[in-house]
Amino acid sequence: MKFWRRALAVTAATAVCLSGCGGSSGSETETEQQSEETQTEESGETTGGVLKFGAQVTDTQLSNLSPFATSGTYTEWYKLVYEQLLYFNEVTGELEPALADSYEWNEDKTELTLQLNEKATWQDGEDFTADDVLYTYNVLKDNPVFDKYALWDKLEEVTADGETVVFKSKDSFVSLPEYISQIYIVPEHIWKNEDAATFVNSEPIGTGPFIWDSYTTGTSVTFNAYENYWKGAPKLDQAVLMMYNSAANCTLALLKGEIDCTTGTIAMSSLPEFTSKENAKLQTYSGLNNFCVMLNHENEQLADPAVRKAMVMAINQEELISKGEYNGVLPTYISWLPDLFGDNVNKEAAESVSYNLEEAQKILEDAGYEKGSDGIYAKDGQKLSFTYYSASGAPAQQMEAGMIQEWLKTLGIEITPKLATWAELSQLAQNGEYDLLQNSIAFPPDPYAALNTTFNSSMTAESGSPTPGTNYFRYRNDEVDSLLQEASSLSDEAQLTEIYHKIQEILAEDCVFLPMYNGSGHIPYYDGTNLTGWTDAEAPIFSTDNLINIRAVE
Amino acid sequence: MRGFSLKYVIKRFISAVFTLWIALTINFLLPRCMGGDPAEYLASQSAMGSLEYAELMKQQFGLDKSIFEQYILYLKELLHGNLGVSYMNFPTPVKDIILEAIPWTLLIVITSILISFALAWFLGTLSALKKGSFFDNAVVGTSFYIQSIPYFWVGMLIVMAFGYYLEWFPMGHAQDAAVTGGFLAQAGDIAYHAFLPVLSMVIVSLAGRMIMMRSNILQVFSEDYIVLAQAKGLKKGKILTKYALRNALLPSFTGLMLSLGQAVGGAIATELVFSYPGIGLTTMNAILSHDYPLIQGCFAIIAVSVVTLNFLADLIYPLIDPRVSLS
Repeated sequence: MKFWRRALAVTAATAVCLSGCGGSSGSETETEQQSEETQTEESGETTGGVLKFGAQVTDTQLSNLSPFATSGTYTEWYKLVYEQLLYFNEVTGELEPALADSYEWNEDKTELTLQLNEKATWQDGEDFTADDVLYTYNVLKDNPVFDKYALWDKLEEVTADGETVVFKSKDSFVSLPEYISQIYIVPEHIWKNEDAATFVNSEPIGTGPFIWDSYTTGTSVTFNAYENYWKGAPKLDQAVLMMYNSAANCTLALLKGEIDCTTGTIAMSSLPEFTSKENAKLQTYSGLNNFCVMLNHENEQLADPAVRKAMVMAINQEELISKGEYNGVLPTYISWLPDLFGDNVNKEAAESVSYNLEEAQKILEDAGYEKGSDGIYAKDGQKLSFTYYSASGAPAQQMEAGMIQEWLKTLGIEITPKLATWAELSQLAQNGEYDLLQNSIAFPPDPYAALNTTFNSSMTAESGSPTPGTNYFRYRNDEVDSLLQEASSLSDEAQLTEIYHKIQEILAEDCVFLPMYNGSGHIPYYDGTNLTGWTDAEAPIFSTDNLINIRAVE
Repeated sequence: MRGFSLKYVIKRFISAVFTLWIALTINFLLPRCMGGDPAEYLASQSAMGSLEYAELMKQQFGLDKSIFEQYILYLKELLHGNLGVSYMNFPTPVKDIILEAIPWTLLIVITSILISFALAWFLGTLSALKKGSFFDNAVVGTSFYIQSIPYFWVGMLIVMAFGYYLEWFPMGHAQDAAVTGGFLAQAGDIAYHAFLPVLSMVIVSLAGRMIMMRSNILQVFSEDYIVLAQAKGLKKGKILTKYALRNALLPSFTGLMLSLGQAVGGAIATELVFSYPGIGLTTMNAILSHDYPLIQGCFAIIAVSVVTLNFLADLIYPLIDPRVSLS
């Protein structure tokens, strides 16, 4: 019953919307407003148009529309509807104003003061106020399950005075602005009547440039332009999310031109065909997770730095990225931090180890390993022989695992391939029940946390028990630990950058893991076919700056 | 006779309930036998692998209780018709997810089963009657060929041919958001979108069922009572309808009931290839992400419908085959 009622409601909503858009009065004022705004930039610019964007997303993944949702839900649409206090621009690595105009620290970085954006309004017409911010952060406090980054372990209180919000923390909390950029603000006037813990938010209202309008089961979601958006009304009339059950289908629709872009879904093997099309472009920027082959440092042989270094040097990362990912992604650096961390990235360390098979074999031989008649290196009668876990049911992962295993065999290392589901892989990694394991590791946009949770010895555990962080490698280095300790008490950014550089240098020397590629944003889109106005050098395609500027081709 | 059949019904009913209990128990245990813990998986994906966070998730999901407590709770909730709450789409009730997905699955799967059986019975009978003819050879030859092609490939060929190149039909989805108008326009749009998925499933399932029907007919035709009927000089049409078909359809009827029972299991490959919303893909994703309640919910529905349809088949069977009721 519910299903059919919903289907009818959707039909009715679509009908109302279509007749509304066709109605003269509404659309006229809209174009008037927009032409006023655009006159200053470029004269004679067209407005209107529909952005059709595709993604691999199933019906179930849209059943909970709460921006606090913790698990398997599809979250890319938040970028159209909701906003954070500060926006983290992954292309430039900068923090930009969003629902807060500016922020200011006190001396020891225990108090962050934000001036709220007074132009922002909720899509139902209500004003955006400090109460919304307080409400949102209190939801995180009252529901630790929503507080993924455990912010309230460090925060003391969040208070407001007029349009000023103050975050007080127990100790200095240098990366708080970066974490703030991850939290979407929800409207208090709607949410206060609900139990945030179980509210599925079926009619989302945000401050962003597009309004969630209607959902057609398993097919699409329609968003309408929000004319009173504080950065200016979007030039598009609508944005439509087209849902596909597999990357292959989404790619096919993209190749056929049924959609203008995707939120990142594309079958990598179709990338060459896509880029050969007219007006086809690909935006690539680094993201918040790194793919790598984890090495278990508690394995006696892998504890030997010479073995790890030889393995890293035996892997042709360039070929892995060109053949496995068709150059649609950026490399994982041996020093870990990706480009989005800006100045904090130690480029020199990142490029300090490169593919060189002969050199790799020499390193092993210098360390006392000898090649047996079977072509496998051994020392003291013990062959270099490891198990290698990778994800089952993921063709690209399996192909890349095959390439890496082949390179390791060429080096002279025996590999026993094993397959596991994603959930099994995380468990094996967490409990250290592996020699080599291919998976990705996610981190927040905070260089300290990115290094601390993955490389601090306090974030690991003996093989057999689960790690409290993502140091799945069982990596322990006193120097790294003390540098991290030092960083945790500092609040000067230049000093911090220096420490981060040192840590990255040590990581590169230690060859903690085998680097693969960064879980980069890669957004395929057509610029100039149906739509124009995209700027890919300054911001991600799915940023408000781009979303309000994309418009129909004349 | 009446007492006999009531006893038959009760016996069958008890056996159905017992089967269901076993199925539901396995249903509970099987997902928990998979390696990998859903709470830890979520923590590793979203919360930097934090163990405290994994613990919070376990409490939220009730996974901190002992497995026996979980089992009792599961059975208790199930008796109240409560399928629990999905982990990956927390806090959406499993019931809502299933109810959203199942009408679409039933639409394409049942339609294709009915069309496929009807065509199979017709073509199978025809080719048996014309055994050795060009038609018979062509039908049997093609069937063996199609039978050996994997479904996935057929589906993709159909999408490429009729969706991508010829553009006669949409490449996927169950309906078009932009279609407005009356009920008829909506229904037409849904049928238009369902055409290719149904076609692909009919093509693939037709062959086996047709060959089975053909050999059933041929076997019945070699029975003594058919020879007797022919000797009596009965018309060929009457022999076919009154004697041969009735008997030849029996094994196929069981097949039909079983297929209908499995219909709610969905068609994972179809849903994947045609981006069709449905229960098959929901089940697959639930398994891949270790969403225990959703896996349990999907399998419970499948188990209940298979057992129910089998029970119904057991009840109907004596009516269409008098030999069974006497046993």
